[in-house]
Amino acid sequence: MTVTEPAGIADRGDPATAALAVQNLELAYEVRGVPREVLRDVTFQIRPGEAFGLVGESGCGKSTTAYAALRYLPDNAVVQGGAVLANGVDILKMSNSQLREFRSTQASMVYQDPVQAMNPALKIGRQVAECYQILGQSKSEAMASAGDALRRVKIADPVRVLDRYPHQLSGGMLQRVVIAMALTGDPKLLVLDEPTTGLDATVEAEVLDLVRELRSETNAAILLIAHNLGVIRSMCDRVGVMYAGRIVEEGNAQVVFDNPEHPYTKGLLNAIPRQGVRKTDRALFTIPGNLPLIGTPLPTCVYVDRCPLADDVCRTQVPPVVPVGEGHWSRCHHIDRLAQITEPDAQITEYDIGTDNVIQLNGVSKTFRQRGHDVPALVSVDLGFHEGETLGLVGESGSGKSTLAKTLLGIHSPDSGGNITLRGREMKSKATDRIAESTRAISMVFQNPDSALNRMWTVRRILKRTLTKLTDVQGAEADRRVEELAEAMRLSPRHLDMRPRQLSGGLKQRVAIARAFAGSPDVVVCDEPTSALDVSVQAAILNLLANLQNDERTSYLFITHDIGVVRYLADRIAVMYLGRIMEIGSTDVMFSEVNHPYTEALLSAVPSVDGEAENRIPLTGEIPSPANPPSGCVFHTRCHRVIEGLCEVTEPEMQEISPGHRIKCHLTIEQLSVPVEIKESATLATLAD
Amino acid sequence: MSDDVDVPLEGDPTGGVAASEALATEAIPEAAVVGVDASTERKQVRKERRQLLLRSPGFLFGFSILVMWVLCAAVPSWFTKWGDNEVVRVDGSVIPRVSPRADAWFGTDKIGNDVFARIIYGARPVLIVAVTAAVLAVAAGTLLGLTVGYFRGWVDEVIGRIIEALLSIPVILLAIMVLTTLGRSQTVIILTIAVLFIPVVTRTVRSAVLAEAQLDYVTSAKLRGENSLFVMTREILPNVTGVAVVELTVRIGYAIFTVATLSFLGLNAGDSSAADWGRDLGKQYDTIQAGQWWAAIFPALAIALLVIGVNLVADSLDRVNKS
Repeated sequence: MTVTEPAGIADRGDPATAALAVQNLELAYEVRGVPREVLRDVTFQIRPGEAFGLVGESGCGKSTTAYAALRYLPDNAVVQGGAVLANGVDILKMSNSQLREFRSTQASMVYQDPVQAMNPALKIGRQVAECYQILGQSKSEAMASAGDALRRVKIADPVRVLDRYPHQLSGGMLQRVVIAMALTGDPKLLVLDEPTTGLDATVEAEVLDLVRELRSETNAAILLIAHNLGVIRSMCDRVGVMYAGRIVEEGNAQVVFDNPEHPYTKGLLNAIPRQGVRKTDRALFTIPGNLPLIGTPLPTCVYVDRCPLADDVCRTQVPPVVPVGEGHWSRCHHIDRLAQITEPDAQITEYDIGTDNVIQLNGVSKTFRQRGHDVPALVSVDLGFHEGETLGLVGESGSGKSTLAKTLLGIHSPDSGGNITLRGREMKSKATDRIAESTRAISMVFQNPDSALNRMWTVRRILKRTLTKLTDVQGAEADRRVEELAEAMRLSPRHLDMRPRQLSGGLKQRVAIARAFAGSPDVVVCDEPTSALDVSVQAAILNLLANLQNDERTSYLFITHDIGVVRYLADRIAVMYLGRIMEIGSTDVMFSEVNHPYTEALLSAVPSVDGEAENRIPLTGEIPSPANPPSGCVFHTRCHRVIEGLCEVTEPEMQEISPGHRIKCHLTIEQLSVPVEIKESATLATLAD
Repeated sequence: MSDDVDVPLEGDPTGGVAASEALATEAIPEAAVVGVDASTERKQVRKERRQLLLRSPGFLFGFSILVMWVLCAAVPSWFTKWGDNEVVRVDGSVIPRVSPRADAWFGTDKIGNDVFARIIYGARPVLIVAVTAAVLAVAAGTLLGLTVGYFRGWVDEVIGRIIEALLSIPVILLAIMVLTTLGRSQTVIILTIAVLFIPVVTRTVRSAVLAEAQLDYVTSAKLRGENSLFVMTREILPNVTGVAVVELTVRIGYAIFTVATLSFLGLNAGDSSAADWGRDLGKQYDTIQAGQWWAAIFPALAIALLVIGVNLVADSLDRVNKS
């Protein structure tokens, strides 16, 4: 392979002084003796103090690059060429003891799942102190240093945290501890591999704030891997866009996201529901096809099979590195034709929403019994939705979203007192007691299609069984319907005889959606159906859901963490906190009028790929335990607008602040419109008891 | 290493297939459909699994041992000219207690039977009893494990306690008690061993079922109104058969030991002169002190070899199952 030294890369300074300089790295995984190429000529540099982000779909080589930066590679990894320089020293050539020295003093890594990164059997204190003992401190010195380390990551009460076991801490708190451990020895390079992916948006925002602050404090170089483009934009100076093991575009993060110069970058950005786009405005942009299989020979442009601009040149010649601006380059033959990639036409679709409630929850509560204590997971929820309407349900983990969905579905029985009606008729609380009509009327799309589909069943069997079970359609007629159903989900007939294992994540989710629609349901509960998928696949699934809704006039209860997604798809949004609905209103008013303080904090926590930086309102502390909810307004312990003497005493009533927009808060519109001031103490992480 | 999605695991037979299927297009499935149809795809998976097994030396070795013993059990006359109870005569005279030599490879025992012939003929009873007992135990244990794992609650409590109680009694002790009470016909031996193994199988299958029952496809089946029997037998059972098959091979190994131990103690089926490894060992071990080791050592080796073969196959199946 001819190696062209891209002009943009050469401009970045002497590789010997970079905190990390990956040079023409070629890496393969050997599977059954056959090397399969994973990284192709990866070259980038991170200067001291700089934050560099890598984005791309799963399987594009981001994580491999991150691990390669510290030489944490699996046994079957074969470096086929190139170098990884840290301050001028090639870590690929280091001896084992040099490498250990390098990892303990110069570089460290923060992993995706903090729970797996910690030893569950040892107290936090011992694990953090161990990092200092390795650096030569005595046991007592190390313990003192551990306390300081936790203070540094803004943990309010380090002494108590040190004395706990990992399972006693929340994910956000644990990730802080992991970051504190990564910072021992003041590394010059910090590699963060999806550090906030498993966390709630509010916690994610806190952790990102922390990393940003630590970065300016320590001047460490950062390599950040994230699939969330908003996170990269808000955190990084520079970004590299990876596809099939190759960096296809690199440049200043803001410039790349505002003016992408590679068809892939453009495709990724267009696939995200952003800038307030709604399903009524236009369909989302999708990238046809899938990432090529690892090890597929890709001698020319790696993106050629999915690129809308691809022509014969792309199929025969390696695209050159084209500088397109200050330190910004792209590997594409047709940068001049990028404007030809257009977003889907704006087509105003009127979603026909009925006026009668299909489903109505009246005063539904659900209390779990746990070790002799009552744990109220849902408290007197009133909620109805209309035919053809999407009701978005948002809130942090533990707010009761899933319990609400499961109660509606009949997986949990609600407490006596409340009821759920389907078209005005009360339904039995348990799914198994419900009449056939109620069973058919409500179905579900689960979050994880791997878990939702029986591995041993073929797609055809999954769909046919559901169809024949829920409807009167039988025999050959059912076979025909199954094929129609698959076609409506854009599944090809050959997928019908496959098992879930043989399908990609997006196709599996299509099967799950097909199953949910087999009985022509009135209501489909979607529990984060796209959170396990890449953005390009997510876009296709969201388009599918929107189209199906338009054709079938189905109502959705759409649970999600992703504000962009809910804004795109939902007609109305309900915000839950500790089992209560705190705010409900149409999507338009939720994003234009004043909000409940909780919603306000939630919305401000979202890192936006559009870069509209806003004042983030931190949510102090952790979500309280539902077993012991705060007095008065349940949100008062974390509220930035709390009124002393009122909020902790009296629980507010739902008040209608505009037609259809209701909030559960004591404050008036005028009071809610005043901008908030954020206290320093609010940025500390405190333990929940 | 973490469970990083980018890293293909060595020897994963399914990863490649799933990924190649991922070529199926996401947004425009009509266009550019590359790939083979589903049935060849599935055959491919089976073929890869088979290849994985055939490439493992442990499996090949274990499997050859098993084939050998099964052949011995099926057609013993292929391997020896002597009957199991036939006294070896050389030039018309009985030759008891001769050490291994050309016309009696493993020597002869006290009575004058050919030890080699006894070994060949001894394969049949132990295989019949052990395999039948293990199959019965796994069948019953799977059904029981499926039931308790699926329903949990008080069913699980009650059966769980019974299982714990049974597991606390040594298998051999209980077997001796039952066999001395009910007599030692082949049926009684088979049923006794089967019943004694049910608790362990139940426990293994139960834990597999518990994991499966957590998965959303089970919830989905319940939501569309499937009854418990359907969910257990059609939805969950196919996903735990792998566990059950591995359990079967493991149990066969243990059953062989149990059968041999019982025969050693004289609790074998059939008449006491019939060829039986455990029984022969029990009757002949006193000759070791007289320096005549062959009559006892060879039956012991036969038992060990069979168990090793079974365990090697069990291990390989388990590994392929988990990959």
